[in-house]
Amino acid sequence: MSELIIKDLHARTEETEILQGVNLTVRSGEVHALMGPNGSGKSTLAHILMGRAGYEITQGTITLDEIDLTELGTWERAQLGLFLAMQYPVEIDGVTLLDVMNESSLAPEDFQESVEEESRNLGLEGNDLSRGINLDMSGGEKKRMETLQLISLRSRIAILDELDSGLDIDGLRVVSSRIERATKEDDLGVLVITHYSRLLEELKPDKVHIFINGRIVESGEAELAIELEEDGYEKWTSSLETSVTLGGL
Amino acid sequence: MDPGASHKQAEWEGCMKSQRNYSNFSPRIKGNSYAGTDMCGHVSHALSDRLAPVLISEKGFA
Repeated sequence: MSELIIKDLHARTEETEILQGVNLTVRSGEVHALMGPNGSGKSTLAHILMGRAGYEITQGTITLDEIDLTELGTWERAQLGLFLAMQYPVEIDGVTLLDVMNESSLAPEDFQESVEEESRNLGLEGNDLSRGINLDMSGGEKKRMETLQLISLRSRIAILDELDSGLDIDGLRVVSSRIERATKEDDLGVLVITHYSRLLEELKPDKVHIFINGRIVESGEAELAIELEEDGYEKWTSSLETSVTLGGL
Repeated sequence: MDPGASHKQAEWEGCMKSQRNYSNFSPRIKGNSYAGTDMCGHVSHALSDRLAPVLISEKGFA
């Protein structure tokens, strides 16, 4: 049983305060969807959780299984079982997935066999494993590769940053149902950042959170994602504008 | 994204995916290729071949 706890998290770049008090707990086997307008800080939250340089945490804590992550490097967070599927995975020429698995402390002993089987299930070609990670791949293939790495590395908590972007309908179904299976069979906990409810048809969320201006403004059940897709964010953005205006009076 | 930023991103992703610290990579020239040792003391040929030249140039090694 793993538990990622984000408490009152505030963070900034040199110029701007981006996160303004994020509170969220993701446990093993749970799926939490984070939805919000462009520029609200969703991807920044993902990067800060994974320890990307360039951000300063000014307040609050991030813990994974009671271990404080805020002072740990990206690789140490990864060793603890945290995984980030990138929105725009870069190509890492000269490094194959099998190289990465050789280096990984979480990789199972029989990883070569399981990686090959998983890659077939995800619709990747055999030679995708022997070329550089993501090298010359389409957007959809890169997302399948991210999913393959997530499953193969046996992560405990996964952050999926717009995993659905670049995937066609069939790819989306294959990838999201595989991750859903991992939540059931391997107790994977998931924080999924998305703009569209389609991803959540297979990867069923326990909670949906609306993220605006660097914090969660409302949480609800899965139906909230459908409501958002029909009505947009105006209800929440306009109420925030009103409160800001009233606060200024 | 400029090439330098792309390499930094690759290094960061490499740290995450391989669960090794390549940020403190100590590159050295070995024959015609590069090798290096990460913070844990592992010889890391996997990332070294492509990333060491980048790190060498960024960290001022000739």
